[in-house]
Amino acid sequence: MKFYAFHLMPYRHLDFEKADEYRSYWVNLPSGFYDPKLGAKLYHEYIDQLVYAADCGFDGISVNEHHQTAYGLMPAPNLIASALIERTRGRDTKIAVIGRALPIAGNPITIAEEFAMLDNLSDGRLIAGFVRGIGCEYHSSGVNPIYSHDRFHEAHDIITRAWAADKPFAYEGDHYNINYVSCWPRPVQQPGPPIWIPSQGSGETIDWAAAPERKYPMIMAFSPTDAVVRFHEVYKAKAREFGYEATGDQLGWSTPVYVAETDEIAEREAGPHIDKLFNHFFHIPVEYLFPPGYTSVRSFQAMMEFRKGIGTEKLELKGLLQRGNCIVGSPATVREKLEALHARTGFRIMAPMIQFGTLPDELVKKSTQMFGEEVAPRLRHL
Amino acid sequence: MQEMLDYECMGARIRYRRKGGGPTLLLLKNEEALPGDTAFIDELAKSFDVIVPDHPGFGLSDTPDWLKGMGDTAYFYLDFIEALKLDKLHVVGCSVGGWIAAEIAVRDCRRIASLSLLAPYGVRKSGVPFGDVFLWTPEESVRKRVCDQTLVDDFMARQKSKEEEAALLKDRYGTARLAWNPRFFNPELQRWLHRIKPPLQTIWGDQDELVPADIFDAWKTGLPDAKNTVIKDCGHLPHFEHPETSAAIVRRFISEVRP
Repeated sequence: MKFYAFHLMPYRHLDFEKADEYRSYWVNLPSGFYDPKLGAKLYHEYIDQLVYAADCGFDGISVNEHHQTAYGLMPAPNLIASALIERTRGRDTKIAVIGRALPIAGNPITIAEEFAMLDNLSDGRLIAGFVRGIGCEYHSSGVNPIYSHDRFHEAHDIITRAWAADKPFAYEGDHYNINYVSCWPRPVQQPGPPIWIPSQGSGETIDWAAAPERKYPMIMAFSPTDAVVRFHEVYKAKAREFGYEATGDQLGWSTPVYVAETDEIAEREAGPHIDKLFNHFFHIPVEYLFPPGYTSVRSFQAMMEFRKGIGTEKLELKGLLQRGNCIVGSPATVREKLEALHARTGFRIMAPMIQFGTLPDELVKKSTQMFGEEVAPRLRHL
Repeated sequence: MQEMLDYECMGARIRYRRKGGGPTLLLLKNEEALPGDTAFIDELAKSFDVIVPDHPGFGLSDTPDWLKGMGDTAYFYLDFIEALKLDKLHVVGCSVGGWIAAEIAVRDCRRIASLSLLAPYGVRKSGVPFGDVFLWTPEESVRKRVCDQTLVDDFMARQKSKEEEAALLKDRYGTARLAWNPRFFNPELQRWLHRIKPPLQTIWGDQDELVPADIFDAWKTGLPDAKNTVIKDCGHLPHFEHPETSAAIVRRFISEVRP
């Protein structure tokens, strides 16, 4: 099993009481809530945490993209990735951007170019994640969610072909039309950096990622254990339909993880910050999260059934732990939970969210160190 | 109301109803139908041969592969009007239906005798934003459409079946396809409004939270002869909230323009 420390970079100095008066922490929460003096320090703190994770032996460090929200301060994750690359120069730490939101980009070539630059800067250490962006981002970008899947597929084709090509080609799409696609620089890893697909389990995405010409690893994000198992199984079944066996290297899980000396200490220390993540930062009304067309009508109705409770009632740590929405505990407990999930699906990509909600620096560092020393080394054989 | 009729267009089945007698009137519906939303049609059918389609991508009509936006909807209706050999046609459109009517007429208005647009989208006025229906909850989205809340109390209180919810979602998806970006307007339409030659009137509720009545000024810029009537104590759906008054305003306008 391989470990990739993941960070959302939330604005943890938020005035939560005042922010709670707004419908959501997304789309139209006033940016006046952001204090640039505190925020600038946060960027340094968070970059240091990810570099610290690399010091603690994580195989990779990872970031992602979100817009117009206190939930994550990386509208341009490649900027952070660039800083991380420099801070880890000469090592073999993977730098995973999981991912860039393809459909909301005006011109996908810029994504191909930026990823190719990062792959050069890192001497081939980049992992490129492709996502559609969450529903909120269609409200904030103006891109029509009805065409989210179509634009995703077209952008993906442009980017992957651009990486592999050694001369310009014309792209004729419904959404993108470019006469001369030509990626300078070309990526170090040929025909392109590895591509990962973080997902919430949409059927369309699983079918697409598992196709034999892609075999993209699917990283389940923010899902309870049973859902992770179910979607990993769907992926494997799809692979079998395509005539091959999916390996654990195609299956990933990303979830908040906190390690401390004992279960009790871990729950006490992580509790308030898990609460901030699930009951505040993640408070997103349905209309924000699922704009029309972002999923098919049928998927939308299934998702609503599945999401019952989330964002509408307060989620307690106990329930979250039981369902496996996060992992909090002693090194032994955390190991057991990861071993248990591995036994069920065989997944081999683990992306623990090392900071969540308002979790302060000293606790992030303590937990990251314990994970690096007492959890990861004993699961690598899986 | 007469049973559904079918019209086939490039592989897609589009459904419509036809009712009444007299001069032909094409009624282009609003985007999110409310139950009991038929009094206006019944009223018009007393004087007109009323044709009421479910727009492509809405209601009981298919969502065709060829439907990518408002232009496709407008060209579809030009086909439809020709195929049904409709002429000297009075077009009435509510909300997005009013926008569709203008998009048809700006392309080709030779078969159109008059246009009555009730709280139409399609044209914007700087500084007068449309309500953001896509951020509203389903309840807000219904309640903000009407001034008299008692008209929708029953609808809101009633538990919807899965099929009913799917139908509401389909209309919402259909709306996003046409109106997400640019949001509920078309700058091209606004630039070429003067291409619309038949007499055109708008009807607005004074309490419209979706398309505020002030937006008429922007229509007037392109169509100086356009007429406007504002109904008091009325929200975004004059045809639903004041069906008799709305139908009377349409009838009077048509009687004035009819040669």
